[in-house]
Amino acid sequence: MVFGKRAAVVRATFACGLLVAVAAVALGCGSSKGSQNTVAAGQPIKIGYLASLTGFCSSFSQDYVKGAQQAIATINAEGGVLGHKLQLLVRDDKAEPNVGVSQARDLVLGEHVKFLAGTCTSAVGKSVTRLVANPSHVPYVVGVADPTIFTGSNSYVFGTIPTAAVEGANAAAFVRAHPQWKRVAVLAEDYSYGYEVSAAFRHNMQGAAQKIVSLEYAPSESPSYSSYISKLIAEKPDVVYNTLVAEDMVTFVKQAFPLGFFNVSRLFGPLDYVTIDAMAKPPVGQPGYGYYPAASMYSTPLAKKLTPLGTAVANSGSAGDGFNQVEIIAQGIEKAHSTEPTAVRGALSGGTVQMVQGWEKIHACNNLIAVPIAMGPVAAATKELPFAHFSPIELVDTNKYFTC
Amino acid sequence: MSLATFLDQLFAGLGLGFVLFFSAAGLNLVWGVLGVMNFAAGAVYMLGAYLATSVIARVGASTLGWLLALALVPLLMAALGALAEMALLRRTYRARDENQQFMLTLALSYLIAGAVVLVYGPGLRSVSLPSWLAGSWRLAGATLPIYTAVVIALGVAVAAAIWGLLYRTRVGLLTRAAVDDRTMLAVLGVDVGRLYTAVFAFGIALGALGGVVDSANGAVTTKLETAALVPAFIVVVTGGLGNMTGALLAAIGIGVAQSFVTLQTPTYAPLTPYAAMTAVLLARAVGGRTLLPDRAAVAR
Repeated sequence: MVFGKRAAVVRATFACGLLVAVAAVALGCGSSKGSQNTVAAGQPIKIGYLASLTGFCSSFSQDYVKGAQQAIATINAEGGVLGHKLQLLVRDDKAEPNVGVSQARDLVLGEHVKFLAGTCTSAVGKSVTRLVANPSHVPYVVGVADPTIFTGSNSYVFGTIPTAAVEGANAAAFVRAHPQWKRVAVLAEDYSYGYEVSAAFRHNMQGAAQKIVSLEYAPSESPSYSSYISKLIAEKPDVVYNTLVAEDMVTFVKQAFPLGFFNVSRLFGPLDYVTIDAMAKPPVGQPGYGYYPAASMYSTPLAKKLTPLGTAVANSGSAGDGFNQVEIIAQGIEKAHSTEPTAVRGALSGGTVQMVQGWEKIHACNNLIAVPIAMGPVAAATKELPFAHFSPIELVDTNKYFTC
Repeated sequence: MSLATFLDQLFAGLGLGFVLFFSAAGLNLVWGVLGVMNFAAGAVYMLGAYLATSVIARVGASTLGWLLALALVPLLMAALGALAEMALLRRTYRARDENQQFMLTLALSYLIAGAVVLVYGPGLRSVSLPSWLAGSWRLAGATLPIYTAVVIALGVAVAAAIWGLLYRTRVGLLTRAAVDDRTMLAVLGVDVGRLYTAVFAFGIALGALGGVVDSANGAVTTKLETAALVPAFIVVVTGGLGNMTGALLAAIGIGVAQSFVTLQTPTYAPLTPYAAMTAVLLARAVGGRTLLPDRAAVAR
């Protein structure tokens, strides 16, 4: 249970603001050196990788690293990029913005990495984005949902998952497509992602015949969601759009069963594979979605390259995202025939990249990649797919949610 | 508010309250009675939960599996606790320096957390209950999960056992005497070192028991460490240092209050424990009492 998490985030944001300012000046000095933009013959191209190995989302961050390392191994086995091997330097950002900024600064200035990737929290992603955007121009590929990170001014930053705005819009479209669900409740996590995705959901539900009967924010890492579940049961919604993530979703589902939640309502939300597979009793039949690429969801060449990681890791989704991030950097260098940041950015922005999901478009207005969202009812493990999964799966094209 | 809604929230609050009590009971004994500032209490709780997942994975999520977890994990942790007390913490008693204890137990908590990540990995773990415990009872239109009822019963039994141990046994009498005047007790021929080791080990076993019980409630992750530690301190401070009845009432009060606040104004529900602690501390200050009762009061 983390009481007062928002206050901690505010403090951390203030603290890292100062750090960002100092680091930006330092990076600016570093970027003026011409050697920053070239890699000598025979030297590896260094990619700095931020992973929240401790702290919030540590439960799936090792899979990100395994995916990124798998991409490095695969690319190097095929001869590398422009004759250079790739080298991954992994740092623990502890899911804290000030630590993330400090690690990113050290990677760029101390280790002279040419590219950055990783982290799983918007707070860290946002801070590192500010650090790398100007004047150092270090291309940064990240899978976080905060839409404010991906703006025109931050054009060196590329996003590999849908933003909260896209996720919320897609969730609203799904609910609107089920007019029999007349009463809709929303339960969101009490931090930035929860607020953003629920705001996008509500915005896109405007004008719908269905009624949003309640909107609550629950603390993350709570040992008990029973009182929230009892409250939801009393409101008798036809569906609860629940955006609790990872262990919080596991705890919610575990406590929802004996309270009879599934007898009176439906759960709909981000039930990615690593989460539902961790449940001793997954909510079979409940509609869920995930945007992290599990290998079994796709029959693409890059999905097959996740196979050596083993069934569990390859289908965690996190490994696929880590794999994608390194692939995008490598493909950018190949397309640009250079490691020079502006050339790599130019080669990627507005183009297409091959990912675990297939060939996907990078929208030039914000450098967001329109990856599909996998949706479907939760199914129990089978002999063919020995983990909880969606069946049947519908892959939603998210290009329709982009206005540029 | 209908009776069913009231009862649903009451049951949810009691369930949360007893989880809070389990997280605080061991800390209350070790800090409140022995006076050892144990910042590893959260790590002990977390390790208890992880060890429970190991026992359940090996034996199965059966009644036998859970009984073994409830028995073996606290025993193992008590043995480890006794070792830590004899090898490390005992050296801090003479100086009566809580800073040393704080640093030492903080280091132990980091060691435990690191070891857990090395052995189990950082991923989510979850265990299921035997089918007879996974259901619920209907009472006046409300739903009472059977496991919540079991946790409440177990919590009452544990609180009674601790109270009985402290106030109705020779060991309890000697422990309270040691808190009051450790040197005098030693002069009288009592092996105070062994007594402290035993009580410390019992406190660690209680913390681990809390982890075992909580592992069935939700996901088991390394975050259980901080998730347990902060509320444990709140409950101990609110209930009164070393006061087991106070800790039980504080935990139940906070749990039930938080549950009903969730019903009315969910946004403020996470603030409930802090508000309760602040109110109690203010009341003590206004009443001219010390904010944290002297441990000698426990002895008396």
